[in-house]
Amino acid sequence: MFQPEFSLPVALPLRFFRTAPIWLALVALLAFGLDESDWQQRFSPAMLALTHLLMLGFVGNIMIGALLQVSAVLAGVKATNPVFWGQLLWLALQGGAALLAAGLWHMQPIWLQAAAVILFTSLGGLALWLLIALWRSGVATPLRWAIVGLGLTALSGVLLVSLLSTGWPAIALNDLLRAHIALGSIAWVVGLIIAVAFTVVPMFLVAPAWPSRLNCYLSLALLATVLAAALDARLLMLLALPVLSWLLALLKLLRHSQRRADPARYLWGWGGFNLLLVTVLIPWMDQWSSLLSTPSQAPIMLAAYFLFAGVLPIITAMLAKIIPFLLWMDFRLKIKSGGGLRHMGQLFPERWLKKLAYLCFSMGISFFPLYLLAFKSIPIILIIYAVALSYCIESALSIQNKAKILQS
Amino acid sequence: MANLKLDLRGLAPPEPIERILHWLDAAIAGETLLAHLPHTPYPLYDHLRMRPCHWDCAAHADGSAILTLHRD
Repeated sequence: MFQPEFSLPVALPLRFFRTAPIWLALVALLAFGLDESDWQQRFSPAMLALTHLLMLGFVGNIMIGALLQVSAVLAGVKATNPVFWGQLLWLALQGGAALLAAGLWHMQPIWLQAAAVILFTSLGGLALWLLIALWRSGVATPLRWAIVGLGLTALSGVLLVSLLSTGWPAIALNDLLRAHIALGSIAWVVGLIIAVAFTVVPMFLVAPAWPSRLNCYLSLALLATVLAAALDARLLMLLALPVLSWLLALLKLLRHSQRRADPARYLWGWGGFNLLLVTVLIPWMDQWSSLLSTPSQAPIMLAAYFLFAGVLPIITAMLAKIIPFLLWMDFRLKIKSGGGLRHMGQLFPERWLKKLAYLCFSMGISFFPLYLLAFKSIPIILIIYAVALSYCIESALSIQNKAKILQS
Repeated sequence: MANLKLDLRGLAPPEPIERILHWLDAAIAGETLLAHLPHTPYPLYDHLRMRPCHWDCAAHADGSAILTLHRD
């Protein structure tokens, strides 16, 4: 019989959150060493390696940590031995990301195959286990469609490596590549952002509930649109529809939020707007890229904007709520009286989020001119952000530890 | 019959959990709390297991939940 309970050891998701900024700083350092020509070639070994380090190392760690946390809070999903399985998953994700990036950078098929096996087993296994656990819990959460997106991204990744190294399966490389990118960036990353927003925005920003129809069908509609676009590139223009519906509802909720001064409100709105902008621009890339002096820059520019102006602000807003909540829950379990920690703001003050928000806004607003005119400055901003995020996470942990010591 | 009814739906985390634990720690044996929460409070259950109480939680179609908490 399924026994719902929370019991998520705080160290489990926290390990993923603490690792993410290290990968971002590494990507920034590697990007700083690239020549201008490397930035203009979408499929250059260096660019492919950096893209995967960002998506698996930085975004992947945060998304997996958030997925574990939200699944536990929403549906009471719990592993039999969470510490062991959590460590194994963490090791597989870090090892797989490093091996994949090294394999792409040096174009070593053996490394790529090993990375594909590790990542497919760990991420595909996680997706399958979570889907079964959610089904057993009976909670109909939109999370399940983002988890299907994660499983399909891992599957399309392993098929890509197989196609490149053995020629199997007999699918056109461009079609499989488009499917992998659409599944990874939209079905998995945007899908999880939308599913997390359904919980986090009303809860932490004290806003009204999402419209019930959107809650029921939007995540499924997003996944269906991505699958359709993966089969036929002409359907890419449909991607903007689910993102637009989500954004309009999100803006309405944010307007009615009772936490007017919370910087997370603006980060959600800004990130959501940029995600929509990217999905609108993707289908028309051939038309507008001709306006650039080097049209081959367009896909890289759009992908980087998707990450740094769309995903990054939302990730920042999510972490600023999820991490103190986790630490507070852990503290309250150990110190029954509540002790010196009376609210989450003591663990992650709003002024920290404000500073991270300024970094996100300035990066998003200045991204296009910086990319075209001073691309070397982008890694510098990324390193500053990575250090600032890491400082906030480690400081929150240190405040919680000090409060525990004081009470014991 | 509940000794206290609380609507905790408009509060940001961890305030609903904090209020329930505060009530439980001050309650005397036999008292009952009826709390309306924005969703099933899975994170609360670990805290309740450490205290002398038993509870029942009913989920509603709109995603909210009614927690009936008895102090033993």
